[in-house]
Amino acid sequence: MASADQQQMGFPEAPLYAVHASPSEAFGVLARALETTVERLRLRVLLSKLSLPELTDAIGRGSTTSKARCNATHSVAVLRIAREWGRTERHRVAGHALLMRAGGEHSPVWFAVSDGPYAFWDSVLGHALRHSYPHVSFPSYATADIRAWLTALAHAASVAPDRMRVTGMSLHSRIADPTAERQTQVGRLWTDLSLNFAFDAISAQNAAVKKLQFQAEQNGRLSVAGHIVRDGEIGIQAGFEPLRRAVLEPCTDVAAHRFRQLDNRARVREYGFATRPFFIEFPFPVFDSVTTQARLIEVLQSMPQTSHAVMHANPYVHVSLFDRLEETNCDIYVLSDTRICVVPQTRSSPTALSRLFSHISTEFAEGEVRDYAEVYR
Amino acid sequence: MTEEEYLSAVKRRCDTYERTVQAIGCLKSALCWDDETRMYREECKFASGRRMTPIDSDDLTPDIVVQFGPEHGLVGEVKLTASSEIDFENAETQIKSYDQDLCGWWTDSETIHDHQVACVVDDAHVGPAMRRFGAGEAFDRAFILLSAAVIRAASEFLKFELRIGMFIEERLATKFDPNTLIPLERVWIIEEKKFCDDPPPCPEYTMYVLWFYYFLTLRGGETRLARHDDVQVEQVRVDALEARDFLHQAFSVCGSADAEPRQPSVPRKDWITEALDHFVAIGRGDADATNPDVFWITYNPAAHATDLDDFARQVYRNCPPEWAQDEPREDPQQSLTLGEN
Repeated sequence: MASADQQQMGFPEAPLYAVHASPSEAFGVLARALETTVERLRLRVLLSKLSLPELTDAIGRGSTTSKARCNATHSVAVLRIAREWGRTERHRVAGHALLMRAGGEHSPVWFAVSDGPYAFWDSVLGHALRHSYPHVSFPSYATADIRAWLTALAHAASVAPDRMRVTGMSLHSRIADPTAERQTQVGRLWTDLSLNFAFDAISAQNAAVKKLQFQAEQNGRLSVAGHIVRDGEIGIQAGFEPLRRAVLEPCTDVAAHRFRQLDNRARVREYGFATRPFFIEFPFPVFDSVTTQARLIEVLQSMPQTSHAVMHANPYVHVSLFDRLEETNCDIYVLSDTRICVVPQTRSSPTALSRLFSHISTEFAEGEVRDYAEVYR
Repeated sequence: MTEEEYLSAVKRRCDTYERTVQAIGCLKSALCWDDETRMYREECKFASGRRMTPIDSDDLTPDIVVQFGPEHGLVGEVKLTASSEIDFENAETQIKSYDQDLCGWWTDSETIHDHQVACVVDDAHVGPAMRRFGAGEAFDRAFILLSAAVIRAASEFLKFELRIGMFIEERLATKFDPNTLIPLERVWIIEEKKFCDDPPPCPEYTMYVLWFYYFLTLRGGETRLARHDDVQVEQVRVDALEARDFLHQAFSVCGSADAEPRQPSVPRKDWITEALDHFVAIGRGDADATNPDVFWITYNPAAHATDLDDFARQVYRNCPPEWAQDEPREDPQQSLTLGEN
C-alpha cells in the first residue's frame, strides 16, 4: 500500500499506517503489528456524525500541521499530525494515527489508533481530539460495563477469571467528610487483584472506575494486557484479537446505542414542540432523602461551561441547564427515587446530552440512559 | 421592601404560577386519561382558557373546559393562589358565571346536554374553601371542589382529592373515590408548559422563559450592532408577535396543534411586550424606532446573570414595580404553598 507519493507526504512506509481498504483489514494489520514490531497500541473510541474527510479536517484544526489520506470508502484514514507549543521552552511533537469507522457504514463511532509515544498520544492527538468538540466527543462507560467486558475478555482469552489480574486502577469516589469543598476524590492504586476481587472491592467502596490496568499470563508470557479508561481510551499490549471481540465490539455498541438514544430530542416545530424526555436511571433509590437532591443540584452547578437556574429544590428538583459550549438547553427533574429526568428543550444535541450524562455518572452516580417510552410504555 | 425580600416574593409568585400551570396539565390526565388503554380517551376533549359563550353575556374563558362525550362536560377554575374568605368569594362569583348554558363545546351545535362546574384549590387552604362553598348550594348545576397537593412516595404525585360534590361522569366518580394520584414523572414531563390563561405573576417570569427557551431559537436570525455604555454590542431582533406564536405553540397549556378560533393565544402579546420593555429598562435591549412590536435585545447565551433571580434583582434595581416600593409587609401570596413535604 505504501508508495513514493505516500513517503513524499510524510507518511511512513510501515504497513501500520497504510491507507487500508477497510477497518477489518486495518484490524488484521494492527493484530500482526502487535505480535511483531509494535510494543503497545493505544486506541480511543470517538463519537462523531461527520464523514471521514470532515472528521480529519475537524481534528486537524486542533493541531499545528496535519495531513490526512482517506481510503476509497471513507472508512479508514491515516493522519499525520504535529503540534508545537510552549513559550519559554518550545516543543514540537509529530506522529501518525489511524482513524477508522467502527460498527458499520452509518455508525457514529470511530476509533483513533496509534503506536506513538505518550507525548504524541496525549499532547498532540489527544489535544486535537479534545479541541474538536463538539464535532468529536468521547463516550462515558460505567463500571458495570467495564466489569462485564473484562470478564468476557478472560473468557475470550481462555483465561480463568482469577488469572486475569488487575494491576492498577484509578477510582472516583465520594468524599464522606461534610466539610470538604469538593465532592469526589480520585485515588490511584498499583495492585495485584483478581478481576472479581477488584470489582467487588470497588463496589464495596461505592466507587467508579476511571482507569483500570489488567493483564493475564499463560505459559510465562502475557496473553492479554492493556488498560481501559471510562472515557473510551483503550491500551493494548497483548491479546489484540480477544480484546477486539470482548471489549472493542461491545464498546462500540454501547457508545453507538447511547449516542442514538440522545440524538434528535429537541422541542422543534416539525414535531409540534413535543417533549422527548429521557431518564438516567440508577439501580437503587438514590433520591430517598433531601440531602441527595441537594447533592445533585451541587453536581449540576459544578458542571463546566454551563449555567443553571434552580427552579425548585424541594419537594422535587427542577433545574434549567444551559450548555454554553453548544448553546443547548434542557430541564432536569427529579420526580422519583431512582431516576433523573432530562427534558431537552428548544436546542439539543447528542454531544451536549452525553456531556451531561458523563458528568452525572462521574460526579454523582453511575446510571443508565432509558427512554421515556421504555419506562412508561 | 429590600432586594432580598423582593427576590423571595418573585420566586414565590413564580413558583405558585408554575404549579397552577402544572395542575392544569395534570388535570387533563386526571380527567381524560384511560388507565386501561394507557392513552387519552378519544371522546374526551380538554382545553384551558377556551372561549365559551353564554346566551346573554360576554364570552368567558374558564381555566378548564372538559367534554367527556357528546352529553356531559365540566367547566371550572384552578385557584391555587386563593387562601382567604374573600378569595373564595371571588372564585364563587366567577364560577357562578359558568353556571348557565354555554356555547363553545366540541359538537356541531357547539352545545351539550349538561355540564357541571368545578373549583380546584390548594390542599393547604381547603378548610376556608369548604366553608365558603358548603355543599355547593350557590350553584344550580352540580358542583365539585377538588384540592391539589404534591405528595411524595417513591415518586412525586399530584394528588387531586374530591372534597365537595360528585362527578356526573360515572367513571370519574370511581376514579376520584376519594382521590386520584397523577404521577408527575409520567405526565408533567410530557405536558411540560410554562403559561396558562392567567397572566404571569411578574415580568421576570416571562423574561426568564424568553431568555432561556426562545431567544436561543433566534440564533442565526436578524441582528444589528448597537452601542450601550460606550460598548458595541450585538442585538437580536425580537418580534413580540412571533415570540407569542412560538410560546403559544410550545409552552402554553392553551396551545393546540390546530388553529382553533375558540382557543386563546397565550401568552398574550402584552405579556411579551411587558417583558421586553423590562429588558430595555434593565439595559439589555432597545425598542425599535418604528415598529412597536419589535425589540432589539442584547442577547448572548453565554452571558452571566441571566436567570430568574438575576432578572428579579435587575428589575428591582432599575424599574421596581409599585408593590416592591411599599414598606416591608407580608407579600399577599407569601403564605401560599402547594404540597406536603
